[in-house]
Amino acid sequence: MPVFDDLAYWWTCIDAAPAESWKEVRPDALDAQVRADSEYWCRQQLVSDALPYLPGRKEAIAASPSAEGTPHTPVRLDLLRHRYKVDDFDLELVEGRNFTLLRLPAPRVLQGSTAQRGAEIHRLARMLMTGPWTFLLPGTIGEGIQFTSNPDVLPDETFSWKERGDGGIRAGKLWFLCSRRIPDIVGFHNGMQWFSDEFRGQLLR
Amino acid sequence: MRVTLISGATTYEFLLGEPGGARGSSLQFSSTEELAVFLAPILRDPANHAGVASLRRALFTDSAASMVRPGAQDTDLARRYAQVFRRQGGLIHGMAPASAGGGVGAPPPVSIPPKPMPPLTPAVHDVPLTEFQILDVTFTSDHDKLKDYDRDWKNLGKRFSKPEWRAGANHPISHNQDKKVALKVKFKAGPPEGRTQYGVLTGKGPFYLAFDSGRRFISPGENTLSLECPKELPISIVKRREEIAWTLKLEKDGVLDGGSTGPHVIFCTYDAPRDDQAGKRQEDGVTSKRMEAAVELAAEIDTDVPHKLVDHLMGMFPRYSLSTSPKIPPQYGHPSYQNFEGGGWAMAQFREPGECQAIVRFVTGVIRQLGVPGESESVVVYAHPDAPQTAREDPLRPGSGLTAVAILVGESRWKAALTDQIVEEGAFYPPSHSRLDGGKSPGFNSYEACLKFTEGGRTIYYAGGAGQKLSAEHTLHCFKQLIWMERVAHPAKGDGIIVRKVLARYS
Repeated sequence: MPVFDDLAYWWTCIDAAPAESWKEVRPDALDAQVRADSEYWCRQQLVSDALPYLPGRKEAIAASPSAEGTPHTPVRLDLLRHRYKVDDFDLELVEGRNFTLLRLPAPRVLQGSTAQRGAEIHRLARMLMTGPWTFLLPGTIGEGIQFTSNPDVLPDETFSWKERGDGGIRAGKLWFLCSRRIPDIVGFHNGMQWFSDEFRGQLLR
Repeated sequence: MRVTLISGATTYEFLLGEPGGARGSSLQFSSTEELAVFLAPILRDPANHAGVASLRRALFTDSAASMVRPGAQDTDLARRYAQVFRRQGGLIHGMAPASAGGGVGAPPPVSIPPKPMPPLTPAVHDVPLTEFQILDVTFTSDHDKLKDYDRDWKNLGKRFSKPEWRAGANHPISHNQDKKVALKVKFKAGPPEGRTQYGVLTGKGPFYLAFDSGRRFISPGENTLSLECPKELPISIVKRREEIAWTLKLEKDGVLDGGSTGPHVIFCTYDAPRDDQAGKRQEDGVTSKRMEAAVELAAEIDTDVPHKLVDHLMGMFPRYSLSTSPKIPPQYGHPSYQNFEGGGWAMAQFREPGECQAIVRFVTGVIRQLGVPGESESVVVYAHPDAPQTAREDPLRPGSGLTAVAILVGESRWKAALTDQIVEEGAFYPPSHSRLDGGKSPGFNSYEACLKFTEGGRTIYYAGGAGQKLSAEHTLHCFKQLIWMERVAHPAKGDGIIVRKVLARYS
């Protein structure tokens, strides 16, 4: 059995959430525990100007509930999605219980020389995230690439999320991902059980 | 002190601090100005150089003395000598005509006609002291570390200034619980022309704030006395608020009431707060808000046994928590309390379980604030697959425990874990502590995080949710098994764990 790949698993689960599964929610209607987790990790991992929940920030929040997999559909996780603007960027923040994913259109990372593209990736990473990472970028930067700051350690074997950041370009958008690693346990918490049963019930109504 | 100086053909003896010394025959000056006029030629006369130096040393402090050496401003100089000489109750006797070069002998007093005084004004030495006012109180036995910041848990603010008590100001102190309180009290006696005499200053508070100066020389004007209470503060970690009532019992003029000072707030601690790590640890630093909280927490148990205090503090948090609490404002960063708001101190306010390292930081902050002896640290206890029955202990830091203990078996990656429930080889389990009907799934742990506290040669491990343990071995037995496990993706249940091998069973 191949080594479990957390990033691939999370991406599969995000892609598995159909458009109709996302329900708009008001910030004050969020499950209190989910809101607390979300604020805690966002404050840890995003710079203050890139935080959701900022007073006056016009953000759209949506949630998608987890679902077991079937022979035809993959497992889905409990997910939260924020869409808001930071500077001129339309930012999409997708949160699972165990990760923080930022996506944004960044045409300049697909323009110019490799060095210019790499510089733009790092500029945007530092503009949005607190992680002190230098990514190891491939020789060619284009659609479909994936990179990491630390290939020597798997996300579930880190002691802290700060030990490894990941990113890539997918469907024309730049993405960055930080795990929400808790070192006390082996692996991660159950990403299908982030939402309370009550909140999940509201989403499924 | 006696010094002989000459003026023209006459020798004068100057007396300081010798009450009763032939006061009746001393020269009388109705004002400072009059005395200054008398002094000016004496101070100027080179023949008096050595004598004036002695007088200067007797009248002024070192720093003040440097400013009153003879110079061009003779009138001002003489006025300053006159002011201080009068304030200190100095006396001047006229002596025999001066011999050549000035004399230090004891010729018979000459008759100097006293200056006529207004008939209704008594001589200086006959005016009774009737006024007594405490000007300030400065504690000298306190720790002198307390800062004036109480807005939040940050280590900000300035040290409370001294004196602690004066008109319009009253600052708290922290003080050892079993030490005597010492202070300096500055008071004013009057009227200014009142007579110098012996007296006893007493401060009356509870027995640990009772002061008696003994027989002291009291002058009109400002007096400062250093006092120490003969009894130690009681052994108790507590915040005290006490007043001290002051009286001055004068040998000639009776008892004067100086009113009360305070209430003096005294945070009684084990020892001086430890704050030498304030540059590195958010929780180090002595502020009034932190001190108030620390003393309040310790007062709940009121013990002089450090282990009992730590046990009490740990009792506030029956378990460690890895989950964020919605009850705590996000700026505090619960459960890690990694913040710029004073770190773990907010746990005193919210009293919600947090991560082990946060609780350790909080407890360490409290015991260092109170000067409690002993050292606390965050450690992790676990066993390694190489020696499954042997407890290991590491500081809580990256790479410790089983976080990265893994082996490749074919294409599979097996990870070591400690379980909190019995698991079976080959069985599939959801991720740690998943909600199940009627309970939670087994936890697959990297370690048991502990607060390790050592004091007086005794060490105790405080394991989250598992209480006190006397050793790492005992702590390891919080777990059920050491296993090899593999993370897998179940097509319906998502990610989970297959137990590959049980390496040890503990309980």
